[in-house]
Amino acid sequence: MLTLDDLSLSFHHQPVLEAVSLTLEEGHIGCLIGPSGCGKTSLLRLIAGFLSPSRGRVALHGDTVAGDGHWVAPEARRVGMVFQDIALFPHLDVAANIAFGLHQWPAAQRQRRVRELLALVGLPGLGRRYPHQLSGGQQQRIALARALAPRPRLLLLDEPFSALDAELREQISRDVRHILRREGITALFVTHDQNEAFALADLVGVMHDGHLLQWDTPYRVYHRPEHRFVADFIGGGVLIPGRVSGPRRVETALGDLGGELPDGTSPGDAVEVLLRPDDLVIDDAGPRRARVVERVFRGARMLYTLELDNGQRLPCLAPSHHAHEEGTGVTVRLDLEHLVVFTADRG
Amino acid sequence: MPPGSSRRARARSWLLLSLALALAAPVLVVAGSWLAGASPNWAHLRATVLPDYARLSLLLAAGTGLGTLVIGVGAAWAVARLRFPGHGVLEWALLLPLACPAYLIAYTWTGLLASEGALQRALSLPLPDIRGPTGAVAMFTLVLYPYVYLMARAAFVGQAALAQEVARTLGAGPCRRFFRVALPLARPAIVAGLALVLMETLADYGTVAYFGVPTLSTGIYRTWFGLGDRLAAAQLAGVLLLAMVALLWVERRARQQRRIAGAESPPAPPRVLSRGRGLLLATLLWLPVVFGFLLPVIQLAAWSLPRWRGLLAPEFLRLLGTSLLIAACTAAAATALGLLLVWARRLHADRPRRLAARLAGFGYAVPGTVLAVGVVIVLAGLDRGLNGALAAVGLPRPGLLFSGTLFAVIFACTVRFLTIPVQGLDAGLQALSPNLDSAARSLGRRPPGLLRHVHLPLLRVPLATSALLVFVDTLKELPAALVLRPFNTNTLAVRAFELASDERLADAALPALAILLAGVAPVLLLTRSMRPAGHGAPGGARLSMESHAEESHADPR
Repeated sequence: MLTLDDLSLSFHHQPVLEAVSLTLEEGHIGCLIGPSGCGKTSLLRLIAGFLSPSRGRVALHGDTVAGDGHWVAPEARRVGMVFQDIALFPHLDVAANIAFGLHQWPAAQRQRRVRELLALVGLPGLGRRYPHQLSGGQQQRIALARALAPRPRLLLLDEPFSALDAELREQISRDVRHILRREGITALFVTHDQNEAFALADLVGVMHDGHLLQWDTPYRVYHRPEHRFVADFIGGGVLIPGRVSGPRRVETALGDLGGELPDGTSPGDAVEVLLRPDDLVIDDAGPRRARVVERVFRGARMLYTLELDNGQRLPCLAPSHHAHEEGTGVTVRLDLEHLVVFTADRG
Repeated sequence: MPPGSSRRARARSWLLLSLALALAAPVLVVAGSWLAGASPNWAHLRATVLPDYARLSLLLAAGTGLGTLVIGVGAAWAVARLRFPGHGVLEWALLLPLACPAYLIAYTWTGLLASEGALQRALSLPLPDIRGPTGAVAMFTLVLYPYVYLMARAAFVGQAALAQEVARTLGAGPCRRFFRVALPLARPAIVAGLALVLMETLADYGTVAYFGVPTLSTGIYRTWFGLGDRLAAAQLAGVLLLAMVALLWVERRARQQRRIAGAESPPAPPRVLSRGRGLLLATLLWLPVVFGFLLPVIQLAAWSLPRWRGLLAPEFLRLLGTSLLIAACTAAAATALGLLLVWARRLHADRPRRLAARLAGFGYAVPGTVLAVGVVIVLAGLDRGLNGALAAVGLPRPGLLFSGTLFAVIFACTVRFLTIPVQGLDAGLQALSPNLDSAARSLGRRPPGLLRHVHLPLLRVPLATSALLVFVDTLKELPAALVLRPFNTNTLAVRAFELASDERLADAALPALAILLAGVAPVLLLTRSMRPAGHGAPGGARLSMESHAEESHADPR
């Protein structure tokens, strides 16, 4: 179990992380996501012990490893790490790479563990190869095996698949999820790919400017974003302007919508309403007219950009056999399960 | 670096900085000699010899600069852009003169051109006496042009076809393309090479001493041992040091620009010359190799051959033993210190550690004569202090423990050549992903384990290369050894110089040939770096080898 408590980090008086707190239960997979420079990699390095917090606490299984006057060196934390550039030791063969963290084990056990891990990552018999003789995907599996070999209390993965091409990436990330689940490993990922995050994680954290804005299930991060940035960053939606028209009512270009409003809003206040591409349905009986501005073929689905009469543009994901030409008019209706509303941002 | 051990880390940082300062002490003492106020002899020096020193130093620098520029850039252009018979061999053979220290080829050529010499007997022409400033310029040009050649060639080879093609579409002929496109693009590289040439020229002691040309470098020696004024010698050394720092600055700047100018698009295909013109060009290009390497080697071999028994004479063996001992100790010390400073900075790059590594890379700007002055001042002070302290507590005086032993020579050469491992190992380490370190740490290895199991195996090649380069450079080092060797002890370089100065040219041949052949090793290493990269074993080791060879262009000779 990993606990971060009010963790802050600054470099040369420049804040990198501010008051980050989260808990990751035993055997769960967490994923940190955010734009580059948001501090997610720094957070991983902090947990691993390559950086030390300016404030706050890192605890593993209840033992404080950093903060409160405690410090456990990275080599003593039993935290495994998988790197973006893979970082296998080029002078060692695959078996020696995997055995690198087992230097205190008896030789026989060490060999058994290496064989076990090679089998686990699906590459038995490659022990004598050198890293440069492996493909990118194989290298990444070996890097995973190397990190798992000493049975770490926590596994950290820093954009582990970003060096791989798209097809391989999906395959490997599915395999990795499988391995982590089967071994019951507590793991924390960093990625900038939200599909990857949703596919892998039990809990997703969205980071921005050193803050952890939301730490929640993928479902809630997508459907119940607690922060304007999260709503904007995740899932390709748009925020359309609206005005509070009554208790639990908002007036927008798509009509009067009902639902939960942020605290402290009163009628007449300007707000923003989150619309996901799948919230809008093209329906011949729909109440609103719109014009197709652009369409992108996505295989099973078609992503339309629609423009309302007032000029508001909206994304709309529709089955691709519903082909509407660019420039033609359609009618749409809203299919909103719940309303996500933010107080309007002046920025 | 973990904060738990931050106090210990900081203490180590200051320790490393003190170490680097101790290594830089001789240079700092020379630079600081002006703080004592001008020596009483200074007015006298200025009125008599100083203008001559300055004039001749500048003259040699200008002449050598021009000569190396013409030969170096011309050869580089021809090799990079043209194809002719013997191209493949010439490409690296043009580097061979780098193996000859200038003082050796100076005395060999004196013998070759002497009235009873081989050339005179073969050609019944009046041959010139080369013992003068013009001859010195010729000697320097012959052995130093490879610096310009090496840098310029790399720049010309790397130049994209695009610039040439654009110039062509704009109607520029070959001449205009060379002067308006290729040359300006290669200028930073050429300037970097030229700065090295000028540093070597100003630092030279053996050649100008042998030819009787009074320069700043020989002036230091004379002021010290002739005039007996150590302060004035140190201050003269300070003047020379200032010139070196300026050149070093020019070289560093040029290197940075060179990095920016590096082209990404594919290089232009070379032009194949017709047979007649190709042979003519090849003949022309062989001239510097013949004059700067082959003829001197043949002459030295001819002198040595009848004396081959001298190889086993106790005197020669002792000479060889001393030289090898000094070179081996220096190579070990410099490589170990370089590794320590660079590796400590990799672990934790705080300000003291960065400064320490930078200080250590400064030595090669310091001529041997300048360094010798500084080392004597520092070590003599140390000996005085030690003897005084021991006498005060009633213990026997150990004598000149530092300044009177081989330690002085080894210390001076270590300071001078520390740049080589510092640059080589730094490049080697930078080629390794920092995540390798993180991976090793997260797998339970502490820093010593990281060094032993990850860095050392991956740095094998740059370690070996650095040690070899330092070894050979120390074998060749003349002025520092000349001044600092203990009484009655000699090195190959010093003995060759002494015998040649006594006009016993033929007797000097054996030690000279030994030094020269040792000098071929680093040249062969350099030629490896000229081959296109990208094939052979991948991985960090190979990478660091390439970058090491690249960096070692700057190594002093």
